[in-house]
Amino acid sequence: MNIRKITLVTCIAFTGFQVTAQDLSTKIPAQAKLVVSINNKGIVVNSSPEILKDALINFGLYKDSNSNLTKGLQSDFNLDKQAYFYYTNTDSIQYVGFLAPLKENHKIKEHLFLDYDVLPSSKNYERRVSKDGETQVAWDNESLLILTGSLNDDYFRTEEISERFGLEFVSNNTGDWNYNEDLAVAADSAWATEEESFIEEPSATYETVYVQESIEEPISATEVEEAWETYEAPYVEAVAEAAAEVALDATYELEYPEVTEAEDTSEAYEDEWNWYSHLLSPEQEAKNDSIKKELFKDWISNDFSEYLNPENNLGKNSAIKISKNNHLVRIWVPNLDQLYGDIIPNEIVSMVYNLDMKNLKYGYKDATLDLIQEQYNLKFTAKVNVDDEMADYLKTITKNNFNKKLTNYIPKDYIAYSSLNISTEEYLKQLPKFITRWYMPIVEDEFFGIIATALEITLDEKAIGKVAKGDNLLFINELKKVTKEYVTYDYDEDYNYEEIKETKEEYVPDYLWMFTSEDQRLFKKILEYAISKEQIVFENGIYRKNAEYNSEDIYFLFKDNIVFVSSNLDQLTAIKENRFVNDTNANLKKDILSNPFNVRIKTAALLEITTKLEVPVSLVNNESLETLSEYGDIQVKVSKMKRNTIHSEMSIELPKRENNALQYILKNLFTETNLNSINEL
Amino acid sequence: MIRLKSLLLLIVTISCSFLLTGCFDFIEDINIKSDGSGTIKATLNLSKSSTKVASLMKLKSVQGMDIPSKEKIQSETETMIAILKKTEGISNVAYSLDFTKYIASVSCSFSSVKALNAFSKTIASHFKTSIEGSNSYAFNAKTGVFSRSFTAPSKLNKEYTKISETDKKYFDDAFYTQIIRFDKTIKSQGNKSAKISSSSKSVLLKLKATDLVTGKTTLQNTITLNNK
Repeated sequence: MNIRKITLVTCIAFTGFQVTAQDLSTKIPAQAKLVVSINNKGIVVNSSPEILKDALINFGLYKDSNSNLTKGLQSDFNLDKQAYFYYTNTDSIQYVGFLAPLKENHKIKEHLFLDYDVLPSSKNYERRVSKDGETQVAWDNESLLILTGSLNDDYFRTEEISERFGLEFVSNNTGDWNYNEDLAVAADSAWATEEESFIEEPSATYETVYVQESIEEPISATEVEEAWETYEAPYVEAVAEAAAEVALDATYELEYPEVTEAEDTSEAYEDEWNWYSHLLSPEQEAKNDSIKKELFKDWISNDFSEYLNPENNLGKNSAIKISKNNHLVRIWVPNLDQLYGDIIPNEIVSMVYNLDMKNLKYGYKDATLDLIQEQYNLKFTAKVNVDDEMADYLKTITKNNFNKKLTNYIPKDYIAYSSLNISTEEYLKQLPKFITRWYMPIVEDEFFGIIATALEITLDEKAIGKVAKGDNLLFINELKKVTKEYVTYDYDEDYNYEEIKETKEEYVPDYLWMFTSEDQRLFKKILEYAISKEQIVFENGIYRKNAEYNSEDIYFLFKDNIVFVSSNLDQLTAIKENRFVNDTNANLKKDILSNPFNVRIKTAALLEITTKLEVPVSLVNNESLETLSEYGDIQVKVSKMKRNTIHSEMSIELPKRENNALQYILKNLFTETNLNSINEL
Repeated sequence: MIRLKSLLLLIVTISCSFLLTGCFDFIEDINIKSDGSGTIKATLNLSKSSTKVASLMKLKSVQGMDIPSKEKIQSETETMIAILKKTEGISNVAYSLDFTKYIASVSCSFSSVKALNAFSKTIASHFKTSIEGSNSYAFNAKTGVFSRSFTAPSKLNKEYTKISETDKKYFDDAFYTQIIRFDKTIKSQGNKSAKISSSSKSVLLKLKATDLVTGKTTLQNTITLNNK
């Protein structure tokens, strides 16, 4: 079953209409490493079946609205319960499961999985399996489970495991690389002589026979479990041997790259070099693929019954259950560090960077991410719990008090702003500990311990903290018109020409950056030195760094215990002369003062900016640009730690064309044109 | 043109990849003596778009279109210069790249138009272009007839047609200028867009780059010199 079909089933599930009792969370295995909860009811309540259907048609999933499939799907799924995706992963195999609630008298059997093979019913469950054996399906009166997945290739990349399953093995150790002498000589020759040469590689022709027979005597999941644990179970070996035999008997039609041009020989040589060194040959790959395919089919087949009714499940886990209608989707991760470790290609990172990422433990624990709709506002919130050590670290560096005086200089017409408040003093104090805990384990080099100790001894954190406290506020102002110089040509009557300079007006964004500094001596000394070198000019209490060709001047101002850096002289002069007109937005000030990190972009201003900056419309979607003026602001904020939890939020206010944000997305963003544009990317 | 057409193509390709940096001047200044030898200087001036070019060069690619880095441009230019220096009949090769004003120029002497054509072919081959067949120079010292053929590179036209109408207006300030000077006076020239200088020894052809790319105008010309 492909992703598109699963998506179809998921989406169609939103259009059902009946209530039943049991929540499907009892069918999610406890070892799930990620769960996506879909609030069907919330989604339909906030949109409508018609809008969803139109969106699905645009999405290309609902092409034939009169088909039995479509008609049936609308009446088979139960709206009042959540649907779930989940992900499990062991060292050898990963599964993705989809659980959908069904109505009591559903007719799934007549509408879906018609091209799947029928398996014997088991414990009131109808069973189906895809033709390739890689997707298992089962349903009863109230739920549907679709389970698919893949093997973890890393697991098979050791000699021991390869041997166990009869796989071909080539070491990644470069010392073991094979070297194709013929190709090397040919390539050298080609480079040396720059003459055409011809290299003939041996070619082999085989026929391919795919494995069509499955192992006749399936065994229980428990037996397979044991086999995995011991790597010695006869069943696993039988699977491997059977697959290997078929693969060895298989014939393949293969062609080695043919090298005909001298200039291409070196490239071919490079390809061949890699090919022969740290990759398997095509026939070896084919054999391994065949074995692995058989393994996967049998493993999923034997695991499925356990996944259908997992004894240890998440039924009592409240974190995956959505209780509010405006919470549309929830993603829950029980251990973020572990999931991160699973996703990182450890072997590759280890080979390329010599880092052991498995030892990287940030201290992240469970995480909950919610997609929330508040009328026209769409929010994506994240709550991440961390361990005590990480919590202490984050609390320490973010306990910095933001200098309230900075909020007296908020420009009225800013386009975007960002604030960052991390205590420099505490950060430096924590740095050695940070290096020791987080980085030393992955580099496995005591040298980093020396660096950490050296930093601890040599840095005067308090003094540096006075130079830059760590509270920063950056505003991108409105665009300003500037005069730019360019070179053109003047021709005389005989068409001799000389360069002349002309000017033109352009718009550039300007900025205002400020931060607290209780000890400004270092900055002033640097600027005084630059003045002596005629790089900086000091006029009317403001330092000006002369612009290089066609760039903008940069101005520096020291006022009270604040350092201002800006490309806007008028703004700095107004600050200096106490006539700066401040934006009095209370919410803005509150965000800046209370959150360690904020970003806010005035989306509506982007259209004017792109026009004035002459950004080619081809670079962005023209239609999207025009509607930007209807959008509210985009905001990202990270709050201070509460207990051991990090809270962050990203939000955007969508145009008020429909009843709510979800309807706007489904009707206006999920258009055929937009989806085609996305596909083209 | 003086087969710096290949160079032109390289430079225009680079500037095209700056997608709508818009304003640029390309000037090709050729001096041809009666014996067919001469000099050429090709200049690409992007200074009017310098802000945009500077911004774009900070990106690796825009919508899948690669933006060459300063180092890449430098390296490609040096490769091209090395090839140029090895080309028979080409001498006094010089170049400059100004990444402040965004002006690039290449100049050289050639012993005959044939040398220029050979140079052009070499460069075209190096940069895997296919313009050498449709753009070439010829000069008959006996009859005093100088001619050049030209076919707009279809690849550029194809790329240009992909650009939206709104964006095409940014190319309005892009010009291709060709100046050809002789040591004899000009009897006639065959390009309706070209002008002969007051001394009658030079021909100026200044065309909008968009017209050239789309085939509305051409660089093709036959110039007949007075045999005095």
